[in-house]
Amino acid sequence: MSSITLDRVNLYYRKRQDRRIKDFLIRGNSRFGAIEDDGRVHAIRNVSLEVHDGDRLAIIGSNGAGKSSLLKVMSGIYPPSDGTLAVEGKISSLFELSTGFEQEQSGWKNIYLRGLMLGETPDGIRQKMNEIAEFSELGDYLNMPVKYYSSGMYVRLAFSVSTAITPDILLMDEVIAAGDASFLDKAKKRMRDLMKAAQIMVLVTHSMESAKSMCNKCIWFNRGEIAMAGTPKEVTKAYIDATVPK
Amino acid sequence: MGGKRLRYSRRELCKGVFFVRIKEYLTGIWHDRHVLLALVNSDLSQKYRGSVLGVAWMILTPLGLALILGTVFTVLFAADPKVFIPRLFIALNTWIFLSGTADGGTSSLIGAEGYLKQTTVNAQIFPLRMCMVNFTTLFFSILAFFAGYAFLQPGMFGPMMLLVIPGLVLNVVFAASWAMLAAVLHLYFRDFQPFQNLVIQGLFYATPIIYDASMLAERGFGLLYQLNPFYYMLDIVVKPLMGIIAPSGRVWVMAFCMTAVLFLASIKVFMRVKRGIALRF
Repeated sequence: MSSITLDRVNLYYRKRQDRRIKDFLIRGNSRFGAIEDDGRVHAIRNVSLEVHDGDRLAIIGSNGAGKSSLLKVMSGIYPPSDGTLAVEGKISSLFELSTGFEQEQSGWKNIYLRGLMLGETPDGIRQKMNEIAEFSELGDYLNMPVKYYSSGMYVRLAFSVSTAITPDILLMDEVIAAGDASFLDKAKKRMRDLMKAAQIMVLVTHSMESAKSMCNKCIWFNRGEIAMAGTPKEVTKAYIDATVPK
Repeated sequence: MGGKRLRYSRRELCKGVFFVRIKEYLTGIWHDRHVLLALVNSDLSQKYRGSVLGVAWMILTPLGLALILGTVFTVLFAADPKVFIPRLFIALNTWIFLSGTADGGTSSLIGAEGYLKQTTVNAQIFPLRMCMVNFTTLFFSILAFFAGYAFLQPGMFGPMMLLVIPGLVLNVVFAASWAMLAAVLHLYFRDFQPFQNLVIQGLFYATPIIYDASMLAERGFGLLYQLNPFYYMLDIVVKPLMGIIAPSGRVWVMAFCMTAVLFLASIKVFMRVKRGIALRF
């Protein structure tokens, strides 16, 4: 049994302000100004939500609505500032795929390290390395330090490792925007397989089609709050009606 | 993120008693030990990549410095080179370990941003990574010391040298704790790294590394080393290795107490901010 339960969860964070001596000496000089006087952002506001086995939840909303922050709270990366989060099950997160590499190390070493970070044992990841390498189609590039990789190659590598591990709960944030057409097709197929295998999937997306075709539940997130919850068809229609000018 | 059961609430985070945090801190390191070892391995293999002499530089750098400084100071102070140069070599290496770990600690969390924003890997392994990389260098230096010292002073080898083991354990805990605190302080106050560098550079001259502590005492500046924590940490490594006199009981007590205080303080501070680290970038 897998589940995600959020009970009146709030998330605040402070934007890091680079202050210089003149900011302290000359009042009102700060570039952040009065909009966010103390730099505090209330990213998630009193959100309560339950996701259970079989749920495929789409989260839609405009940029800056707090969708990605919500996903990071669910994954345990951001701790709730207030409220309770309870997660049962093995989580795999697919977001910010182009970060988190040892730049000077080869693709092979990064596969190993990333696998360990995702909860694999050394033996477990070693057994999967050839399959991961094959899926990534990076070939001899895997022997090169990843600092020479293009952004598409980073995504290929990270996606191949992250999706080689079958989770109970899959959290995704529109990860496969990068990559060429052939890889995109392959990645979509693997994602579909992963979605079938995972007991719970949460997908943050701007694609209404993805929300409708891949999910059975949907929430519209707006300014850190759930503006609407329901079936993907209902929620995407309401969202489009409210946000797209006629 | 394999198979973790997460349960976070603000209230639960704050009410945790201290020993629970110590346990959580240590089990977190154990949980991610394979990641830690892979990172240390990666750093060590990277450090001398492309260099002809490779890992030999780990020993050649302090050895060269000890020979240069040792020769100069042997001439200046008419010291016995067979004692002075080995002592300088080991004191210098221990200092490089402590100061290097403190310095590396400051950037350890900032450098791990990509991992900490993407996975739930335990953040305490990143300052520890710096400590382990620097300790590996110190370890090889000690092996080189034994080889050289066996040639220079074979009569000094004896059971007293075994005291270096508890001395090194205390030094590792001390350095790792310092790195934890430095990592958190630099995450919140970006002026901390240059400030710490300034303090460490000053302490280098105030610590009996290139001279003996007795020289300060003879000139009435004994307090300068007696109040310096690095003096005690160095003494519990240098004296056992030299095999001449064992560190005094007072030195051991001071080293142990300072390490214990720093260890507990670092856990208290680190575990307090740990869950919010990903929000600080």
